[in-house]
Amino acid sequence: MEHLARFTLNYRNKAVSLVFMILLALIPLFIANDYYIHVLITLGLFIILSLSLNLVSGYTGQLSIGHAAFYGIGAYVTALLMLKLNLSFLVAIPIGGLVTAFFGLLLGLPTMRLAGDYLAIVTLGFGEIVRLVLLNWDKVTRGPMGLPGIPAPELGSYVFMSKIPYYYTVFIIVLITVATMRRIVNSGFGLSLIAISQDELAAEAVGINTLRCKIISFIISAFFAGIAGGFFAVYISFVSPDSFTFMDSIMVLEMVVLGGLASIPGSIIGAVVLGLIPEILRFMAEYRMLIFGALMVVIVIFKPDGFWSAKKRMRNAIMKDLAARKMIDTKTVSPRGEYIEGA
Amino acid sequence: MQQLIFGLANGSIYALMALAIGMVSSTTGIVNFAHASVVMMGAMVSWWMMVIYGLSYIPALFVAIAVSIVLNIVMYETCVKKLGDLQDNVGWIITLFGASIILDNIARMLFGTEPQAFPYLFGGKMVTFFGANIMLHELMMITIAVVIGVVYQTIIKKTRFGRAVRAVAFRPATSELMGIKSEKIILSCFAMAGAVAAIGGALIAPITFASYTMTYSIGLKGFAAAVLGGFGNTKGAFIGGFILGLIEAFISIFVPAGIKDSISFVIMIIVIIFLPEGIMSAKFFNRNLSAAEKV
Repeated sequence: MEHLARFTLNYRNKAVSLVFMILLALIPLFIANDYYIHVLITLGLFIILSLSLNLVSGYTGQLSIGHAAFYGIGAYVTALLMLKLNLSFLVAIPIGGLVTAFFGLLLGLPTMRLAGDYLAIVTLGFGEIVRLVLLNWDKVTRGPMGLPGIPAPELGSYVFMSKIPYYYTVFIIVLITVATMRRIVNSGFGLSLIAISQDELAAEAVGINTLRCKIISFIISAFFAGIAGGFFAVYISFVSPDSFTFMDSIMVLEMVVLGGLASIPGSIIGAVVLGLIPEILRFMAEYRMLIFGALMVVIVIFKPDGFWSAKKRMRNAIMKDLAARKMIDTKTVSPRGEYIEGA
Repeated sequence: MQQLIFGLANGSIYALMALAIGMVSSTTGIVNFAHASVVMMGAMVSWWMMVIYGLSYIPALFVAIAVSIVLNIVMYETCVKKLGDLQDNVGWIITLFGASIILDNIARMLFGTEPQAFPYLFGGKMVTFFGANIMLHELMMITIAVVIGVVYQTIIKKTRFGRAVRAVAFRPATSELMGIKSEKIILSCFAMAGAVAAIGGALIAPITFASYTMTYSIGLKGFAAAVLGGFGNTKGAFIGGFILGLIEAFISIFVPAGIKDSISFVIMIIVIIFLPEGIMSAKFFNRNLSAAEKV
């Protein structure tokens, strides 16, 4: 009986996500407004970014505030490959991702030994170095003027003219990212990462090569950020250092924290919510960033675990299990598994 | 010579920022990412007082100091204390960056986006010194920074309050048991950091011009200086600040300005990797010191 219940639940979850995916895939048929499609595409980009940062900062517990640097490297490499070597976007974006992953390795090798705050400062410095290099390496990046005129992607004879093919491209990239992240997180390697985030010393003691795991997660995270950057370059057809400041890094980190660390649905929700806030507040552009800053403070103080916290749900599931086995007083546990004070 | 003084003057600002960041981090263990914004607010408020209300330099500076102290205390009460557990660094990193965004945008709305000319001390008078033209303002920057450093060091080493600060920095829970109100100590450290921020802001503003983005890159270099000297190490903050200022001044002879900025961050990363406690933690400097004496 229990088996059957679990099976149907699993099945239902799968069906729900399938319906959801089909709906998302059909959206361009219902919404003809270019602006809405544009917002959806940016949301897709944010989802890729927050998922990739979630692997490092959520699952592995290594706080990085230089994610925009990887995003920027991916964008510039892709842009340069398409402009200088006339490569197709299908080749250029993955190469951009690989180059970014290499930078992830370069940064990860020395810095992943560092603890907490130091890592945050180093990644902050790295983000600033990348921005300054993009800004000052005139010969390659054209400095503050940026790289305009990245050609529209072509598939055979089909040229991307409207926003809809871009929507499907980012949709596919998001699906790949979500699938990859799920595979990683549910694998043995993913368990090692979670162990590191909980207690690094204990993880080391049970034989996990913590440094290696951290570096690999950093590389994977950089790779997906680079892919997002590459798509951004192709989509906007213009890159400049202004798009990759440390404000963008903070924004991505905030998405991960808002959604709940170490949770894939959480990162997606965080990206959607924080991506929509600036669009909704567009009518009061003057106060937009002020409200954004205030929200950052308020949300962390009142909802420190985020909206969809994996930690909290795990705790609730354990509480429910204990109550079901009559190991604790059932009256103290709500149907959702939350602890009821004073019951 | 000109480069040397210029480097030391810039270095003194980095040192003041590193000092203030160190004050906060030694007692609470957090890195104040919003400090640069408080420095900017200090500069903007004193500019406002001088230009709009026609105050002279010193009273304007006092108003700015008061405002910065209040800002820092409000920041502690809302962004740090409410979080409870500071071991988990995700919380305060985000709230402090949030605070810095709020301050920057308040400044943008109050003072506008135009960079404003800020008066030099002594009206920008130059003196000739060993055949080099040096602005008196730059000499004052160095002097004021060193005076602040010496005063702070004396307070920390010689007074009852200083001993309490050191105790809280070393073992917060134990010092609470010994009857030290660590809450009050932390608050006063935040207040002192605010005062130092306002002074630093008023000193650097003539060079960078007063605007809401004036501390964008200086702020990050303040962290670099703090890292170079070691967090919470007063002497280290000064040494880190001056070293960074001098390196920048001399490197700028050879490389363009943009590359110069990134070099300070490269130095910072190298120092973090090899000497995470700062250059003052190298064995060479403290052979006979116990951990409690390093503050």
